[in-house]
Amino acid sequence: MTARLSRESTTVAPGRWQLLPMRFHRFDGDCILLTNLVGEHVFLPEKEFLAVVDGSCADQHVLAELRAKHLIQLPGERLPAELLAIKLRTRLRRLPDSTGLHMFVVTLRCEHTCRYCQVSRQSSAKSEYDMSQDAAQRSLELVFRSPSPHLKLEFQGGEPLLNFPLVKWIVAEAKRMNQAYGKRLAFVIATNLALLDDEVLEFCGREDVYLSTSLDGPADLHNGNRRRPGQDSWEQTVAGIRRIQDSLGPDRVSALMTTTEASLDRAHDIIDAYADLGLRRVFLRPISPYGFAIRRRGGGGYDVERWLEFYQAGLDYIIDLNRRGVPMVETYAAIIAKKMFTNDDPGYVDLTSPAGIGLGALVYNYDGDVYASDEGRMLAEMKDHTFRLGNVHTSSYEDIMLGEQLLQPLEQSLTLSAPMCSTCAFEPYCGADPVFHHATMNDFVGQKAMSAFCQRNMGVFTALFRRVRNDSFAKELFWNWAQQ
Amino acid sequence: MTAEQGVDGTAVTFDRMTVDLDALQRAAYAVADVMTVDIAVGGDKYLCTLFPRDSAADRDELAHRIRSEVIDQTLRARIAAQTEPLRNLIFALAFSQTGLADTETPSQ
Amino acid sequence: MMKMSGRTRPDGLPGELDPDIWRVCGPDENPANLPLACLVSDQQAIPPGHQLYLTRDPDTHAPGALLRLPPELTHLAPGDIIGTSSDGRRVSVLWKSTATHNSLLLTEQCDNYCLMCSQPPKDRDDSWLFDRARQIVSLLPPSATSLGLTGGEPTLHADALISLLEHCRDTAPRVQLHLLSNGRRFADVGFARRYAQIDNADIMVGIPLYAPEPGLHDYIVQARGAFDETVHGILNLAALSQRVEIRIVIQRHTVPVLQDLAVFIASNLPFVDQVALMGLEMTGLARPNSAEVWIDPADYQPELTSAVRTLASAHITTRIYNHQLCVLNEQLWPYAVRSISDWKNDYLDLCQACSVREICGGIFTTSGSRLSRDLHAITTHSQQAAAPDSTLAAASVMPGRPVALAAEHTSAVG
Repeated sequence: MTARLSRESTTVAPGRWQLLPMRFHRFDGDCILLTNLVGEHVFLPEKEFLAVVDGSCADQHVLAELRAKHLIQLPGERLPAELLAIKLRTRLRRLPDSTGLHMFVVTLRCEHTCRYCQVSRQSSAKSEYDMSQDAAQRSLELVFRSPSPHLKLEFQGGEPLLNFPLVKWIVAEAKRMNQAYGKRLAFVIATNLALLDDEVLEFCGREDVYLSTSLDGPADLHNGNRRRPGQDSWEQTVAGIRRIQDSLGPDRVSALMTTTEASLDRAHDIIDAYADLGLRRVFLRPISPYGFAIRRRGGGGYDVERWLEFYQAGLDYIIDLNRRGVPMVETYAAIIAKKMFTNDDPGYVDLTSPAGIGLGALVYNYDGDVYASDEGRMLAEMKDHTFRLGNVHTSSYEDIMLGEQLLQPLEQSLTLSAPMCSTCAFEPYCGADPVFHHATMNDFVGQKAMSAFCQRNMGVFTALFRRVRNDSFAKELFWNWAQQ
Repeated sequence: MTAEQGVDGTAVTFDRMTVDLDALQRAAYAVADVMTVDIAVGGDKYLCTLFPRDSAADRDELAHRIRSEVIDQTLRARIAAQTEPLRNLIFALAFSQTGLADTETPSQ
Repeated sequence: MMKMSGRTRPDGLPGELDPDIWRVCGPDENPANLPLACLVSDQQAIPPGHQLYLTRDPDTHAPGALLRLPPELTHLAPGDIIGTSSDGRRVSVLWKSTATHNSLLLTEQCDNYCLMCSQPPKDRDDSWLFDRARQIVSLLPPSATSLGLTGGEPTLHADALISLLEHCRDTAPRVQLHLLSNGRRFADVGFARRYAQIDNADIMVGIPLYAPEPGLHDYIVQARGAFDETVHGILNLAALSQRVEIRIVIQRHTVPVLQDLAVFIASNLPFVDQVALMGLEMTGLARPNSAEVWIDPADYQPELTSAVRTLASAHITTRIYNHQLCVLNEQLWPYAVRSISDWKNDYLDLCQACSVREICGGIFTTSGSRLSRDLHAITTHSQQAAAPDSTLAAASVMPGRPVALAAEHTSAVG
């Protein structure tokens, strides 16, 4: 039987294609990483890439792959542009749904003196550093002005359990106010768990409140960072985690680590500490340059390359755990994987463009001041009020969300128009951090060639792509993380 | 502008006929972590002087670096120019009010 | 395998048989305003007044027109729908009430020409097939739960199709409909809207997609521009909230791109209700093209496994049809549907010893010599472990096409 349409006639003739929006990054060896408008990627040898750009490529497999990934099209085709537009729209669909995360600093009081703390520490007795009910009330009024159908209220401090009565009041009041709005509410208490007792447990169980705590790693590491009278922070934390898991279930408590100089050689130990407690997610975070971390003799500074070694050691250890059947997730990789492999929004305010300030999160300080982000509040502790958007007692929602304090950094830092970001192959996975760049470079945009934020993130992206390219198990693992 | 004192710069020239000033400036921006680049015009050439941030830096490597970066930025500019109409179309479609299925024009 | 047609001996026909479509009923059912053919057996109280009687028993006589059934049609039962020739000498089974899947062939015309097409297109007026389908739908027994609508390309006859679907909605609203189409007509928004506006309660379109880009897909379906129209069609259907299934026939050309196609679907068409990965049936054009399209299932298990895991992880319902369990990677068994219709399936001698024979669909009778080298009886496996979801077999709508049915009926009545 002779085919009416030959295979030849359905191939792509030389020079007969158009480039679709694409960005490239020089990868290992002579390899080029190519990404399309919505972050789908292809690896190509450099020669082949240049041949695609100048129209001389004759490799039908390459051309077919590029067509499938919407990096090239034939003249006259409309479908690729339409599919890209649909995917782009999907990626941006949460934009109108500001603001999802609202952080309430219910007190600055704390009985820990963590070395890296970015908040003023006050001894437990001074209640003038507590948020008032009036401030909380006005904060809630602003919260419910947000268009977002989902609202997460997170209680922070200091140590929020030192002002537990207000936490209870806010939860009750938010639920009552929500009867008129019908939004999905979520509540989290970010606590060191030292003050966890039956009353708190019972309240959280009854009211559907989640708990988030700090677990920096094994005892010596954790206690070295997180000082408290009795030097038993780790013991308290672990006991608290177990207590919550036993009485409310394993999903009710999550833990975050903070990386310090001392952490950088301990990746395996840190992850083991999490695994021992049945915690399924580890977030390998960088050190932020704010607050006490900076004040204390250079902030225990570490260089980005060392942190990237730490990160990769941890990532590889977690991949191996999965290979052995232990389902551990590295949270930062999972967030990025979602952007690499899907068009869903991971909802992570610190790696998004437009930036997460204001649009993704708002912070209501104990004194009623409203900040564009948690880091913006920490800057204020160092007398830099750039990201203070107003005060709940004196500012309207419009003052806060439409004022120049917020709009300037948002607009200037947009990655689609920022130098170097706009042409970066990793832009679909990255984000804008005007607070970081303001703090370190005194500029919302930042000179990316010299930005630790850029260097760190590009290091993570290349680490992930290297594993995607060379390890099919890791590739499938990241795909699965992205779909969760 | 040039600094009158301090370390000597390394000279690199680019042909104005084949290299776009925009690409050259973008390249200089991208390598700012290892060098600063002074750009001057001399006849049909761009006269660049490279000043390393690290005085122990290999001068040849710096020259390679800026040249490769200029090649890459030129390539980027070329791709951007070729793809700009389609990029605008895609954004317009993404932000259009009507759903894509609502357009009455048949496909192809 | 069940025979779907046979020669009958008419007895006591008043003249030409009319109508030509009947629903079989038992002796407990009284005559009604429908064309019922009453199936009677020996020494039973035979209800009078039926327009037509059927019997397997040579000694039974009936009080009206009677057709004596051959041995191969003794499986006929109440609820089945048959077609009769005007002289009463041939009967075709058009609907089997006990079958898990029934399909109605609506046309043999098609604007694709797939290399492995199991229903090769014929370019002649066969509009009577739509009329036939309409009659059958009117006669569907109360036990009917699902109905396949196939071709050729049914959407080539837009008005007739829309009308038939409306008829289904009105006369058989609880029947689950599965329309097979290459999807290209749905690129026309007007047509897509007409389809959506019918508002059938439970209907899904099964649309084949063979590659993640136009080059290979257009070649496989032998039509330039097909990929574009098909994907546009899928997008339009989704925009109108219509249920879509993507069907992928696994053959030599599609195996190398199976994983890429899975990623393409997850990235561009994640809203689809289901993806069905189909084993190749060696019939129709697949036979003359077999050198080009045949691949032993034993040789594509890694690609199939990878594609299924990719789709399932992305929360897309994934099903595997037309595969024997012994050649299927065991981790894929939960996705396998026992799908080969009972009138066209068969088992080999070696299957007698197999412990999972009951849940395996067997092989196509049309396979001929193209059988996997890996077919074997499973003797060590326990039937409880990782069995295919047997509820899927009952609930899902047909994957195959009633080839023999149409051909025989055509020659009988044509």
